[in-house]
Amino acid sequence: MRRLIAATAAGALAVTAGLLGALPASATGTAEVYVVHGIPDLPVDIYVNGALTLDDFQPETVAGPLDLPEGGYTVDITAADAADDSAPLLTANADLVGGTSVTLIAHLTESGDPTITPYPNDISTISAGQTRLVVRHDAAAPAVDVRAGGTVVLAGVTNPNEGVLNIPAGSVSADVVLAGTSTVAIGPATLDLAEGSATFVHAVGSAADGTLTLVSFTIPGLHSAPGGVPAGTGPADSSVPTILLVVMLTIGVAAVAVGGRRLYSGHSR
Amino acid sequence: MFRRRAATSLAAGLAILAAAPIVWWATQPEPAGQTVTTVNAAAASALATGSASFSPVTPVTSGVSGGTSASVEADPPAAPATSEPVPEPSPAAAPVRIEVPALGVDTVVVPVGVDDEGEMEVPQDVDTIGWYRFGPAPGAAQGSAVLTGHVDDYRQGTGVFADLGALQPGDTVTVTDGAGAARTFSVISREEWRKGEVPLDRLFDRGGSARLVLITCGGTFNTSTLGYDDNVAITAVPVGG
Repeated sequence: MRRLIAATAAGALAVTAGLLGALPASATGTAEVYVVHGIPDLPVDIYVNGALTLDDFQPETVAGPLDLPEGGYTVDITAADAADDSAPLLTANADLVGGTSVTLIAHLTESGDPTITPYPNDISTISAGQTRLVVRHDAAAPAVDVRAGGTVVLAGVTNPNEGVLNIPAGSVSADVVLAGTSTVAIGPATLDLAEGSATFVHAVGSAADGTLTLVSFTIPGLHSAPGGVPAGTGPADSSVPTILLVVMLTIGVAAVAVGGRRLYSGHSR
Repeated sequence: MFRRRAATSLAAGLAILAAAPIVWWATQPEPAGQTVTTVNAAAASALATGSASFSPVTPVTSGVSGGTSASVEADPPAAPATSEPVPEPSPAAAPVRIEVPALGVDTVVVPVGVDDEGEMEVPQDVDTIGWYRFGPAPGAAQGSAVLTGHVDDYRQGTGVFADLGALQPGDTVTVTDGAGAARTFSVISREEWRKGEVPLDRLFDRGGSARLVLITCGGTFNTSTLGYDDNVAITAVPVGG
């Protein structure tokens, strides 16, 4: 079970000071960070700028969003039983810009080496009725295609790249196949894609070790209003005016014809 | 005598021919869309997310200090702040019936989404009302539950929301969900805008105070676009809640 802890006692004080210091800044001075663990069988501790931030962080889980003041950060990942961050397994530097959303994922490269990859999360608003699906290849596996309902929707995605789809909201049955084949690598999994939300799916693990799986999280609240309300198409078509018109024209023409002919024949008589 | 009758026939025929187009024009069916006076628009606006009277915090004024940023960056990361929970519309509260006593309306409500143009879907049947299923349901703790119905339809005639613009502040609207729970709302405002000026973000707001918004078409029927120039909306707030 992952725990989100502040830090040591001294660290907790510093965190409080950091929060107070951050308050006067506007909301745009804060970045949100999701941390994804995509390395199988390796619980870790995560230190941010030297402070233990995620303790005993389990594989195939997600932590966050952490709201961090914008600025530069150093992220150190150690084994879960390490006493401190003096011997990190992995280290990354992140430069966070206020108002943005970022994913930091510890995962395997295509060749199976541990690494950290940062991704900007697309949190732009989504059209009414739509949902956003982002699929990231973070597994020790070759290029893949992503299929939804049996149809390839993202082709040839390679580690550590991502594909983005904006599609109608709803449930889709998705699977991951080796690129250009129908050999299923992961899935199928049913994804319930909510309207106005972005779902970030990470393919992690190792094909060689048989540990491929999906780790995902969702960012809600990206909805927008419909473009309008077309609630009227006019009065019902009625045949009454047309029938009246035809009847009146017929009677009128007949009266004119009869009267005119009689007048004409009266003249000529 | 004979000539006079012939002349009368001729004159009557010409008169009927002249009157025919006038009668045709006069018997054309009238569009049902109303043009109404706006009542209490400010009260409806005040319920929206971020409006001064709703917001629990004082709006931030200009001149935010940047002087603390250096020390902020040097500090250890903050623990995750509690984010504002996004209200999830409860599917259980999806409405199935609406009653508007002042209009003599008692009809069926169905869930609707958006059409291919990204506009709100409106039930084909002019006697059925649509509830915007992506937004809050009536009775949700926050946000605007939106119901719409055709003012009229060229195949079916006048719709149940044709007289929506006649509602006055204080009139009631009762919405019942599938479980039989009835919720009554009291009208606080009536508004009309040109289609391009409709405050859609406010009407479809998923935050702010709990409210019910009823929308239909109004204004002039445009015979070239076969649509109305305006939208009419009624905003109502929960009674006793």
